[in-house]
Amino acid sequence: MAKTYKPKSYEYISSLKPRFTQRVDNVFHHDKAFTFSNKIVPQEGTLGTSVIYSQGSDIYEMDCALPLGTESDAKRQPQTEYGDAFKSVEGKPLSPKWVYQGETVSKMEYLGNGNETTLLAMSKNGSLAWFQEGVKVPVHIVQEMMGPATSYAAMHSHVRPNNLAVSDFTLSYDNETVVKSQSNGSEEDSILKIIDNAGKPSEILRTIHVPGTTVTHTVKFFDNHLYASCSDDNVIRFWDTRTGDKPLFILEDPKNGSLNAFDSSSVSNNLFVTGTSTGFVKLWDIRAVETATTDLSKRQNGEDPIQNEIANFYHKGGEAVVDVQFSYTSPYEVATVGGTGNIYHWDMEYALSNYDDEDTERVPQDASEELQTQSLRFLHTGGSRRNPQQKGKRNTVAWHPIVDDVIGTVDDDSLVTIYKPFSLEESA
Amino acid sequence: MQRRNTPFRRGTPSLYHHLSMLKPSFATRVDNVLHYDKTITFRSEIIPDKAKGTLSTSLLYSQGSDIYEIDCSLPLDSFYTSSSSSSSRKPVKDEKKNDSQETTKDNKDKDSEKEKSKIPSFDDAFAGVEGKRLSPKWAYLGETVSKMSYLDSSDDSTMIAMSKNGSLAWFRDGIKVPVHIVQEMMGPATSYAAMHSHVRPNNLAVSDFGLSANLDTLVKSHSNGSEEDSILKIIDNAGKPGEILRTLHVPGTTVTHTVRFFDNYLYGTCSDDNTLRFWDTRTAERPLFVLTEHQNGRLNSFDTSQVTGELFVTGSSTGVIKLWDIRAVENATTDLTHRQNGEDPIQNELVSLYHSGGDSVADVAFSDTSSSEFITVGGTGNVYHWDMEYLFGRNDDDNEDDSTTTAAPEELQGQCLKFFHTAGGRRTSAQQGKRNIVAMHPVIEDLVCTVTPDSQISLYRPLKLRTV
Repeated sequence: MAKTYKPKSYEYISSLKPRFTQRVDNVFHHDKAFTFSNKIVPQEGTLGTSVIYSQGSDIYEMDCALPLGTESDAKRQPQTEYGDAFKSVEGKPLSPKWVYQGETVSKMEYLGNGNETTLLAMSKNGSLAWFQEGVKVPVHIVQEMMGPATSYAAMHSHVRPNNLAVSDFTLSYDNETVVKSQSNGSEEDSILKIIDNAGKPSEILRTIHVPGTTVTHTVKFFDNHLYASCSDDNVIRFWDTRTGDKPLFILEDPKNGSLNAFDSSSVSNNLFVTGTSTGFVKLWDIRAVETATTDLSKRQNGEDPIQNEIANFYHKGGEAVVDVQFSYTSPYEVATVGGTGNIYHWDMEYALSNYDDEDTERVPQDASEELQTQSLRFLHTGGSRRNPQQKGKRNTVAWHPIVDDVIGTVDDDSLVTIYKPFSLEESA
Repeated sequence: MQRRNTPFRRGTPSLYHHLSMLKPSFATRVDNVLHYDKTITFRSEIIPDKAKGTLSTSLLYSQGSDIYEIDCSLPLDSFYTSSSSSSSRKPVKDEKKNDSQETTKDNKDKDSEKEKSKIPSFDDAFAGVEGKRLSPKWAYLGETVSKMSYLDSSDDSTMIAMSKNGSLAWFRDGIKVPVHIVQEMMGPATSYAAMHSHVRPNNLAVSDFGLSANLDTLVKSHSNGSEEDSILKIIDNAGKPGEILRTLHVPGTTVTHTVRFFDNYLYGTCSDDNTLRFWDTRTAERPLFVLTEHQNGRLNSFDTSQVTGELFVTGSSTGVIKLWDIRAVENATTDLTHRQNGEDPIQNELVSLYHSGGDSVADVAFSDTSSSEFITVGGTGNVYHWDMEYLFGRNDDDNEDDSTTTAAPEELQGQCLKFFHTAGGRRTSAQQGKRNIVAMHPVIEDLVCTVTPDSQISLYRPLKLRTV
């Protein structure tokens, strides 16, 4: 069956512009980050969950109710109306659930209620705060005093230019280890810190220097021990928390502009995706990347290893890729965020069906029109509210960790949107 | 917590819930079993069979390079009934083991409980394998197995074995040879030495390994023998089993004889400088903190509790056993009130116990099922069963000054020593106690297996006198 570009249509979409108990001067001045909690409470015909939304130093939790997919696939129709997922909070002024005083939250990761720590938040200067259910202030802190973290800078950090967040953190699958990256800004060397999150949360176990890089903008775990860091020298370094201070192996990708974004699949453990400033999205297999570095048959004279991606895709019009996110529920689905804030939904199944990890000759699958149409399943533009001037941001888009296909996002003007794309495939 | 009103007891009578013995015979000819090193451990699977009234499990036994799996079935009633009914079962007297081996088959009839209670004799857990010639399930050719650790049959590897020279082999069910190997080529691991390593003196194994609680990481210690520095290797057991992630040097030590994990990352090593070093697999190449123990002879053995993740036990060559709390040990190193002039930290144990007659402590093993129980193995091969419940019932965390003087040592010793397995006349004081010849079952409470140098395997469950 020949597929064509699918029309923009949603199984459901709901938006909310929250109001706050405190007066907020200008929501545009505050940085925002977005994530979902992993709560799900089935109620009559709906599925209760909640979104976690930060604005400056304040973190809010908002309940929302998703329509339960009880209808059979054949009956599913794209919605033309906005849904009322946020009905229960609409009109009510929100109070912050947690506050990271004096800092601007740039990324949040929800751990869950069962744990000692409910939420881990990072500030723009690279500090980390551990929050617990019922306690408004952090229970543990790793405070960074370098560079922009002086008290003056921290207080004013929300007005600094924010092209890309210069710090990041990631949690191992067992949630026992945190790795965070930060740069000192001025120095020619960015830093990774391995931090305990099991016996003594927030204890810094080790500091590793990433040589020759000023910014390491992304870190991400592949399992309990293996993680990767992505730096401004367009090199992805793969590390094990238990090894010494050198990467296990590296992946250089000097083509296609600067590497902006990186994510690994928590479902498959082997796949990862990179995004570049020129709009390229590449899908990789970590096993092939590593094998290439150990295969010396083609690099007997010290040549660099030949590391090829499985496939590559592109954003329309060369729109920069500012963030990539693998789905938590499917090994094939990836969302990428464009510089204008557009959200692209990709399904990698077609590319992977043509991929054979034994056959190294056929990779990479270059961005062909066919691959692109087979893989790009959905484009969320947010209607007329986007303009090319707006800078897409990291950590403003998140997949729901449990419910299939549900994505939430927050715009600069604090409009929170959750939606589920309507897929023609599924209804066929 | 109940108060115990029992009078002071010095040791407990040797009474068993269950006691079975087996001297296995082998399909291949074995010259002299005394010449081969032996180790023993349990598999963790248990299969209850209500129809037959048995609980089946199996143990792994190594002799030289061969590893055998030996099935055993225990009477189900003694594990799944309440303590009142099990105590109504008459204890089986332990006497004159040497000449009573033949009596093992005497009581095949399990229904005759009365008869059983009258005639002191052995149980028949090994009835299924008795008389059958055993073939090795696995073989680590050219090496002498010195330690085995069972993983899980659902994993990639079923079992990890270490050889005397510090090499490691991963075995899988159904494949006789190792599926992964970390081979040590240093010191005694030259091919000549490896072939002859079973005749080398073996006072204490000079290598060891520990597995993290989630089985993802393995740390092994080995010494080069001649060099003044022993080595730790952090080895992956998750993504790429057998891949060496990092090598650490333990400065100023020739032998690091024990490695044990506390959780997924924190582990302790015990070296011949009488120092325990505590490390995190993720930190750089220095220990987090250390514990130096100058008193009571050489530190021989060390084990951590997997149930609490905080307690550990050390055993010394003079027979002194100490129970420690890692939190207290660490706090002492960071508490500077008593050490403002650079004094060493004051690190006190929770309690100190001893083997009777200064019998050295060759091995210690915490129970996997109870936070308060552990066993120690004496230099003569005696097995001591300890239960610290009495101590924990009285110990007060906040009152640290009291913790070392909870009770008179004699009284504490009597309250905590729950059982003493001597195996009758088959021990002599000249025999050197070995490591890894006694194992506690990971699932079945109190079940212990042990092997003697003449390949006699005993499986027992002590009958502990508990006052109500």
